[in-house]
Amino acid sequence: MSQSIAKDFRTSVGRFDLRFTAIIMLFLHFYKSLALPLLSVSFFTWLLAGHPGYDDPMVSVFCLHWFWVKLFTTSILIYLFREFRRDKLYFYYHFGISEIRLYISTFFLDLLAFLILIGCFTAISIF
Amino acid sequence: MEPEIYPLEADGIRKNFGNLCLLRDIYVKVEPCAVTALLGRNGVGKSTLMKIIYGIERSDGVSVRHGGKNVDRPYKRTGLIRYLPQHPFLPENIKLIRLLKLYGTTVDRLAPFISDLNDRLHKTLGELSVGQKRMLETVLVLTSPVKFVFLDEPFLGLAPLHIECMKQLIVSEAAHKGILISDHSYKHVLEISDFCYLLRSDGVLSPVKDIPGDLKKWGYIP
Repeated sequence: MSQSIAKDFRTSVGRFDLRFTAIIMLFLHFYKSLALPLLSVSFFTWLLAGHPGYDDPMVSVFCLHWFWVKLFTTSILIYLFREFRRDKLYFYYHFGISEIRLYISTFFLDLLAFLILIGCFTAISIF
Repeated sequence: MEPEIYPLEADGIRKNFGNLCLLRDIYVKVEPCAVTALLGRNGVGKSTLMKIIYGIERSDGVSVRHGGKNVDRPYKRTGLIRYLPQHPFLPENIKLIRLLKLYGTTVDRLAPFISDLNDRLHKTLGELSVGQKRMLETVLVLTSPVKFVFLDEPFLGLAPLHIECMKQLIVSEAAHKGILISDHSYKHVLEISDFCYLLRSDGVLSPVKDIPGDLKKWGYIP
């Protein structure tokens, strides 16, 4: 009996992992569809600010301004997406993912992606 | 009565566009293990009605119930319902095999609709024709492991042979899920339907008992 309980537990954990992995993949897939314009805005803003790395004392000021620029430009991009590619949302609805969750996750994934890229730039410039 | 065989009920559905009343206090029941037809002329609001029940379209009033319990935004409830929209919705850059896994369907369900399927499994959707993409979308949604499926124009653009295959698939899936289907190929729809509603131009949803009498009376067919 303990073996069957252990097997049931492993199966249910496995299913949870599969579903969780699938959901993450879906968020990443949606982000990928908008990544080019989103990262382009970040990159352009960063270049205008003098491409500060994490070792730059002005990086916190840049990040603050960059955050508000991203909020504004991402909102515009999402508006355009809703106007011209709204049909693509049905794919995500099928997995219980709402529009709001998609847009919020995209915004934060984008921030994270670019912060990681700045980190890589900082590491390269140091070494 | 097990919850798995409760109908999906939606009532109090109202939708206005400015001064135009599109949907007027509608009640609709989608029976489990049956096919329910939703007919209506162009522009009366069939797709809007389906989307409201599905939970992705706002309305001026709606209450959706399953198993006697209210369901808020049914599309978010795992395993309850999926909706096939009229327009293409699948991303082009996902491989076929990944889509089959995501939707929980198998290769043999899709094989009658797409030739050389095994050779295409590791290719992306962009390599299929428009008709093949439509069939893929329909099969993925129809064979999903959910209790209810809403099909909006599933026969659109299909060859006669594929329409017959699709009808057989709908009937076989209806053995264990409730299906709401709307399509202008009404004869095909009526052949496989157990129940029928007509959404009239005045925004009222009427059950159809006498076919073709009621359909003629309400101006759906000449």
